[in-house]
Amino acid sequence: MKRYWKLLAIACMTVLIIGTFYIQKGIASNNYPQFVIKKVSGDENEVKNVTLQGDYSLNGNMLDNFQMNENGTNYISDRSFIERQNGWYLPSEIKRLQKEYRNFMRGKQEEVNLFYEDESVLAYAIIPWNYSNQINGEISFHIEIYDKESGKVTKINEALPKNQKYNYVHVYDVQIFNGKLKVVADITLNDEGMDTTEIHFYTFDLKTQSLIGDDIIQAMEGQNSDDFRTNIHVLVNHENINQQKYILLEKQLSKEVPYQDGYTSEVISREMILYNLETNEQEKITLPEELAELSIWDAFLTDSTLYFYNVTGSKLEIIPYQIASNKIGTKQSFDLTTGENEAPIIEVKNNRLFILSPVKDHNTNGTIKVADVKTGSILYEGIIEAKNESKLQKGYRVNFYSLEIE
Amino acid sequence: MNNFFKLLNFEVNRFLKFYVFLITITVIMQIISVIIEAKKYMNFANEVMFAESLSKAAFIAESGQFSFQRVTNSLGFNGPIALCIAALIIYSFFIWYRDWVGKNTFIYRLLTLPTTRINLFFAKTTTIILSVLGLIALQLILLFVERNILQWLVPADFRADMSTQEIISSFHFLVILIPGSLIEFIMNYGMGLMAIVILFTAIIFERCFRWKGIVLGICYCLVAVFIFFSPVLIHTSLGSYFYPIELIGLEFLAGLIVIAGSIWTSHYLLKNKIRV
Repeated sequence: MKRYWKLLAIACMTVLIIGTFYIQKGIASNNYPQFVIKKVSGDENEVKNVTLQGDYSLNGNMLDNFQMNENGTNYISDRSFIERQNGWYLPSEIKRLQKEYRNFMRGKQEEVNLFYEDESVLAYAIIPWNYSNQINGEISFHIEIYDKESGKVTKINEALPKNQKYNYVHVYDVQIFNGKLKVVADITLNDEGMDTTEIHFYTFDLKTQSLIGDDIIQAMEGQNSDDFRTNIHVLVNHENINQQKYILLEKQLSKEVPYQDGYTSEVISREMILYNLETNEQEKITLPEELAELSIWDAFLTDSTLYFYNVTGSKLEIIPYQIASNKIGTKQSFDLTTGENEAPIIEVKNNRLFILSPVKDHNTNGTIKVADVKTGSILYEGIIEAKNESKLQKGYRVNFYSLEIE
Repeated sequence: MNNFFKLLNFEVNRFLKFYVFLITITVIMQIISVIIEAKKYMNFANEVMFAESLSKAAFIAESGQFSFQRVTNSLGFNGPIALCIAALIIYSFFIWYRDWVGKNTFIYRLLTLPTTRINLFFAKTTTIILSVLGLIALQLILLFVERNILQWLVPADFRADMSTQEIISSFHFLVILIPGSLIEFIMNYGMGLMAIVILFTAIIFERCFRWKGIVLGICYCLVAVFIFFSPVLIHTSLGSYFYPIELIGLEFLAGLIVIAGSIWTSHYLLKNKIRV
């Protein structure tokens, strides 16, 4: 044993030092505050499945990102190595699909809008757009449909026209109506140096597995010249994998105008179109004078109603537009507790409207409200606070980015 | 088992003088570099504050506080690390070749010991691994000591204190050598172990077959690396086929296969083909 002392010394010191380092690291956490949602009034079941994403900063330095729910906060830096492999921002729908349909979900892009699910099928459509097909210009649909009962996967690969030069392709939504698969995609062509965006509404027949329709909506007439720009924006009811009838589009013609030290875009004319994916019919939406300033980004869609929201001062107005009757319904109005310059974070799901104030700091409370979109009645009110409010340091600030409902 | 420890003890003791030399150089150079950087900054601060009549706060606003990064970016800190890495890589070769040096080659005595020859292989592998880990432990202690020296030499207002973890994360090199969690540590050093084992097998190929052996050794390395990366190759060719956890699991398995295969190959070569 005496002859081994050098070996033993090195081995012991090494194990001791490295071991202590990692044990101490494993125990220590980052001591950032734990935030929870505390009920002020209403039914706490409304926020049971809500996850908030945000960050925590101190004296202007952003320290860490986190996800929180009503019970606690999970900071990015506290995640274990295994947790870090799975992506921080994985939508809960994708997580669920990966668990339930592990093999089908292999190699699929983790974007909810590329999927469609109902009781009998799970469908996926994408137009792969990567380095190789940008160069050779050969792009095609890659569609897979999983039959839940039989477990079979049907694949459809349909090529897009080869003679065109593609600049960008993007699938906005995938739906199935009456045995027909609908794909909404942005196809931007490059025509002699100018980009032309078209929104295509493709229809595939699931029985024959072929493309049977291609409805195109083009941008407004007006040159894409140096001063003028034409755009088409698309609003999809995002993070929703179930059947939706409508897609909202907005065509814009805008002009570059001088602004301060540079330029900015001023919208000269716009046209809002509601597209029915089931019938492939289009409908122009004309808003009354007082709502003319509202754009597609201030809206959310359900199967029966198009809701616009308008933040004025300290109030949030929800203006419903009934699709069937083309009429504007009764406005609902909610008080906001945020300051004038900070827009609240708004989400709608299952007829519930969620309003989250974007900032919490020493002078501002973080509040969350849940209301019934149709009646306007407030179902829940809560505040976001730290488990130990008194321990919060003076220069702290919490910014919220988004709200997700499972 | 007993023979393994005797051989291990022998290998460690052979290397010890040089190892202590490496440790000493690292300690001296890193500590000197901390002191030099701290004094440099303080002298600069005092000069500027005097010449331009700046207050402490104004100077800090202009030139920034002293953070440990000034030390980690300096040659006195990086130099010894690079030196130790180079030395250990060279010794990975030399640990074998030194036994063939001279007329009455020592390898003859080693190979005729009443023990399975693979113990030689294990002893040499363990020596290298132990040396590397020992240096990592040394660096951890040094970081602790150096931070304290810094707190001693640079007044609090001028310092932007970084925790040990922050120092490590800020320096690309250290993040690999001292990863954030135990799992990553095992992963990184597992891969290091695999690399050493592959290298040793290639060296044994060379010692068995001389010139042909070099070719065989290189081929063996390529095959081993290919097998190790095969899960990743399959994953990419099938378009991100595996989930992350599955990929990690498969890579772990691939690593074990390569290590086991290399040890078996070396065992076979040592038993049947080695030339004195």
